[in-house]
Amino acid sequence: MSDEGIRSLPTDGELTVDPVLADALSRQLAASYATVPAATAAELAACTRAVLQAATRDRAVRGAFRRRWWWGGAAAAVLVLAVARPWHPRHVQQEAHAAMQEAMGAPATAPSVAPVGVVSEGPGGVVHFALRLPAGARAVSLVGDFNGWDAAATPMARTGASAEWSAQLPLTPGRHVYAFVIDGTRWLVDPMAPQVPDADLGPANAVIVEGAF
Amino acid sequence: MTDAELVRRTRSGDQEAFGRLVVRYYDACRRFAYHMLGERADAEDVVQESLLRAYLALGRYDERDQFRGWLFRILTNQCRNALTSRGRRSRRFVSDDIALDAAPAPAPLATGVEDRLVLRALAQLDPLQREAVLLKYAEGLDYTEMARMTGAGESALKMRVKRGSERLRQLLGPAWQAPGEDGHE
Amino acid sequence: MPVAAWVILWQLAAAVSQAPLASETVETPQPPASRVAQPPVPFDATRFDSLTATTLRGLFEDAAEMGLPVRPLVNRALEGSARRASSERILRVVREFAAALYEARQLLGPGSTEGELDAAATALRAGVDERTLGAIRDMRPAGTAVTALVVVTDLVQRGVPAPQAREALTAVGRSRPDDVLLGLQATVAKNASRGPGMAMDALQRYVRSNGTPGSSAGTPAPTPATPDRKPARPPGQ
Repeated sequence: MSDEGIRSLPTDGELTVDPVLADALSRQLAASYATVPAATAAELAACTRAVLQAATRDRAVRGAFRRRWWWGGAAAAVLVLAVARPWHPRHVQQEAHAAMQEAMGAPATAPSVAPVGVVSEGPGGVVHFALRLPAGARAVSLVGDFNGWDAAATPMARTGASAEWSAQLPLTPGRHVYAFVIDGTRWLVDPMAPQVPDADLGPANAVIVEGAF
Repeated sequence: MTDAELVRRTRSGDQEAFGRLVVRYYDACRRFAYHMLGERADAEDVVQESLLRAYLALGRYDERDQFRGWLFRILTNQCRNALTSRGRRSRRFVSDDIALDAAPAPAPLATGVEDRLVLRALAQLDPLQREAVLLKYAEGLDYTEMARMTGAGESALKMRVKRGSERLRQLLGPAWQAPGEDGHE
Repeated sequence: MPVAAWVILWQLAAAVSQAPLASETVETPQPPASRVAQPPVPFDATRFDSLTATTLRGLFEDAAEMGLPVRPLVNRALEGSARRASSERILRVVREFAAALYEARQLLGPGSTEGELDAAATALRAGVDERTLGAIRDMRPAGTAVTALVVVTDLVQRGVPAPQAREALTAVGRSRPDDVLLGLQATVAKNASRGPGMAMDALQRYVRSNGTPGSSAGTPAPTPATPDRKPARPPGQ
């Protein structure tokens, strides 16, 4: 249905929309726009993945990079990367599964280690972390969002005859995420403390420090 | 980081950068497509297709253009394609009088039903009028931008907006607060 | 028509077309600064190769532009580096966590604190569903939801199905303070290691002795029965 018509050019007045109507339409459309939900992180990721995969297939077929002589090489590199990159959802699921098994109440790492942790809060917001490790360890560090996850920042001190380790530090009120690093390389979580899972990075613990926060 | 920078990175193979462009523009594209096509699944398909074409056409993108406008040009084209092929499959648009009688009386405005109301009304517009009304009143473009985006002349666009607005007033007007009897110029 | 009116209307249309989504009010108040100022987190770029560091800075900028808290993202990047994760994985985590922070803000509202958003994003990534976050916000106003979020993440991680976790959490949390919620976490954790089904038993026992039974998760505090509603069953039944 063409609306251009054969008649002579309309005057500006004839093309003007009643401003009250324009205002009402703007508001109604804005309200309608607002009811469309924002895409979730998963939807965005899925769309991106789908486009990149389709584009990779497409490029191979269309040879769209013939434009510039050197784009052919770049395209080949991108193709190789796109194929070799672990974008396949199954890979992520496997890792998620493994990480979940680690954190699910069972000890995080080797079965011989069943750590027992205690976290308590003293005056002045100083939090005391204690960890008992049945097997011997040479060095234990406390890492978390309060020290940039730096294993060198808060080494724990061995106390008592059995392998008990402790550290204390002042923490601001609120939630803090932490874990333990054994001998510089092995990461451990306290299975009883609140779990902070992450399918990609691995499990950690949370502590909530009292105070107005 | 500007769109131009993200485009540059995407061109040199940085897929992260493209992911960020998607995060920036997906919602805006989907809202528009949903109002053009009337169905969520169609809208998502069209948005994805548009992003794919944008990705493949990045070599032709001129950094002096607004990325959003360039992307929307692709999007409006894809919406038109979708409507044309859909139109060939089934005649959705019945004659105006029948549509008006058959449509239930619009309910008073309430949260959540607004989009169904608006979508039903928009669906009764000629696609070109619908597109023009959305670009003007929902996307807030001026006629110069609309002309560049659609390739139509400004007069034609103003005519489409005018006709589309009048039609929407007929369809939605009863649901609005009655505008003042005066105030029309 | 006066030109000025057109200009105003056009600007109105433009402004309105930028309106935020329905879950926020149009006049979006700035989220309150967390009541205790947290020390700024240094971004130690030397822990990353220069390409990754640059990409990370870009992601942090993007997040800041969207009004999301950046500190949780920096923390994730540093954690990833400490765990010796690949650059690709670190970037993926930061990007996905930013999207989860955005979702968390949609669900918990624009007045949420950084700690709440951080905990909620973690919860979403752990599989806690949107309805649960909404129920938590219903029973804990802005700034007070952190403990509930931590507890529900833990329960779900230990295998408590989402609907039961939500029910238990709201039954307890709606009328009891946060330390009772932490008690729920502790008892489920202790019993989960004893065998299958032990966690759920412990959960239900705890709710019976500490919670207010009821079907609605939206009631902030137990209210006296009104004439058109059956009185709530007394707790401890």
